[in-house]
Amino acid sequence: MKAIKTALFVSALIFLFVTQVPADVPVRKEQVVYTIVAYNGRDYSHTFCREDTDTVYLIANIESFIILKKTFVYFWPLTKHWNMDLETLNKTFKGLIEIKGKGRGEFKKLNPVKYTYYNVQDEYEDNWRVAKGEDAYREVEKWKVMYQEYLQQVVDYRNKYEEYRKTYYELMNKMENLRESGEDVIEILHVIESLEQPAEPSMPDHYTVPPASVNEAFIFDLPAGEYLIRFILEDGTVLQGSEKKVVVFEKRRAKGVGFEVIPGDRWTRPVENKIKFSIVYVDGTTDLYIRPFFQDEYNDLYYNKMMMNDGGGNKRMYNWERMQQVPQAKILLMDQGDRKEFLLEKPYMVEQVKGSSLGYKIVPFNPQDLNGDKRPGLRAFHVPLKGDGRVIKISVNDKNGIGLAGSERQIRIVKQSKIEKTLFIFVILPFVALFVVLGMRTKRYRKSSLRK
Amino acid sequence: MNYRLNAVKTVSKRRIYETLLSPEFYLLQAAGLLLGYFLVKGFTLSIDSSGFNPELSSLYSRIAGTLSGIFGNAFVDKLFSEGPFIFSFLISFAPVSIYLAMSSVFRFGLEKNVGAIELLTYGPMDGTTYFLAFMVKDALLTVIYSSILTIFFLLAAAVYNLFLGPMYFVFILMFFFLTLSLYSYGIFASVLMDNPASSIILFSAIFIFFTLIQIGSFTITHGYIRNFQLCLNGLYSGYLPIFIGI
Repeated sequence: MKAIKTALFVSALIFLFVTQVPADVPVRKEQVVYTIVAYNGRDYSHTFCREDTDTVYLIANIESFIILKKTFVYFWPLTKHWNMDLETLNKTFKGLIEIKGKGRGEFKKLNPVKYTYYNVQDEYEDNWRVAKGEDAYREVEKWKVMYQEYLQQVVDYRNKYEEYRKTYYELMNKMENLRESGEDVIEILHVIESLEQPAEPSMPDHYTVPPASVNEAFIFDLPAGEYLIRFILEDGTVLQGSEKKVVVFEKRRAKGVGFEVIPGDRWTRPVENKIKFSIVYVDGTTDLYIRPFFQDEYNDLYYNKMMMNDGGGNKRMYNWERMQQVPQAKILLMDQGDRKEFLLEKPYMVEQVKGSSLGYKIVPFNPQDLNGDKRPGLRAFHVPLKGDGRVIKISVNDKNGIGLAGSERQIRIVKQSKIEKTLFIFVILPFVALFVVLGMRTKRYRKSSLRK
Repeated sequence: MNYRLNAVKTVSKRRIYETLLSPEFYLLQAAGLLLGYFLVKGFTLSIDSSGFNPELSSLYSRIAGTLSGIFGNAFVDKLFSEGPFIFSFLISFAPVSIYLAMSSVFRFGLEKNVGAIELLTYGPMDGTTYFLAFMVKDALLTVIYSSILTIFFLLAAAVYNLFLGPMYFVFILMFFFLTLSLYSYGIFASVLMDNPASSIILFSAIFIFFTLIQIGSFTITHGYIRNFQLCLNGLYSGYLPIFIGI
């Protein structure tokens, strides 16, 4: 009894202390890091190389930007990634970077350059541009002017809308008074109907991603290979911890074709199908909306580490990475009945399902109806899965009608079958064979025993 | 040459006959087919409106999670790009291939221990003929079981509307050569040791070592472990048949 009381008392003490322990705060370390803005084939990704990692990864023959900073670095357990605390400490160094090919040549000097990058509106995504030096300032200024004009338009719109509202309610009150006094209101009704509501201004659409503020960085545009870099301060000394290896890699294959598969009932969760000649297995409960894209093949480890320097990957594997949508493509659809049909890309709207059931449905976009003031939420190819066909073959033709190699895919509808239990017969067959063999063996043994 | 072929044919027929009479062979085949059934069925239960989603099935969520953690998502995507059959074949074939290899190792060691090999090599056979007979037996039974598995998967593909494609058949061809190297290392282990138990232990150690190294060469590793692994790769890549085969 005494032992039980002691145990309970100790447990209570432990519990008391455990609940008093404060939550873990990530430990921040001051480090010299290389912040990297690397082009990944479709846009720019931001990452950084800590002091205890020794390699920076970049794609070959493409401009990427590197800056050396001193900041706090901490590990965030929720995302299992390292982060920088730039708000607390964000110190850049004055100097230049020296670079040389690994094991060859002498160090060459790289000076920092003013730059900005932006994406220009076009039919499809990949229109990234880089502006350097004075061009960078001009581009940022151009965006500022556009944005200021837009803000002015918004102010004008608000003023006009206020006037419109005031006039509208004045006329409505006047009409009410006339009606109460028994006078004719048709004329004033015509005036109210002829009032035009001012149009709301839209954001400038020249840029899909406007130019970032002008920064200074070292621009790396290197052929494939391995390099060594180090940072030289203004006094000519090498900054401690700044020596790194740079792995510049190129794509193994280009212009492959992949598909983004969007199911009609879960448009927020598209799936990418990137492997050539692979099969898209679906349950057939809803139609599919697909978007073909070009893809390039990169080393899995190098690409993942370029995207996020503390990420991982398999150095022996190559992975297709999405680049941009195939422009003005057509999809050739063939089903089991040898029916061939060309699918065209069409715009669609995503509408919330009315009523108590939750979810969305994808409907064709019609500019003539109420949706006319909105843009289509989706431009894709509609692949119907209804009917008896269980295998559908698709392939992509480019805008000139030429089939794109590696774009062939099969869509197969997988359904649970009533005859699946027959597969168990196959599993039992070895036992049947065993009994037959044992029976034959026993029979032979008896025969030979009888002969003796 | 004729007498050698005749000796190989006679001994390998005897070995095949003995294997076909043993109950373990059929039990392991049934176990393999059952594993294959559950893996294929689990795959069909992991299909939703957008494609293969391992989270829908508890079996495949564990399989995909484990494989992704060890080899990366790119590996898992490629493994299941045509369907479940390559992975199912590997798992279904494992019990039978290990049994065939182990039974050859054990039998070789036993016959060596009792002096039967010496008796044979003074008579109608030589060492090469004896080794070849074991290899022929293992290779033929491998082909037979691979065919059974392929027929089973073809049926499953027809039932569930899955696709048994060229990747699967290329894989089977490569896997056949891989198993030949496995069996030859088994015979090598038997030659080195004096008794069957030691032969099995040595063969198991070789098999586990090579499998771990091969798996390790595909895994995601970081920092110093990756550098160490690269050195190991350089050392053994020239002469390991498993490495060359894959």
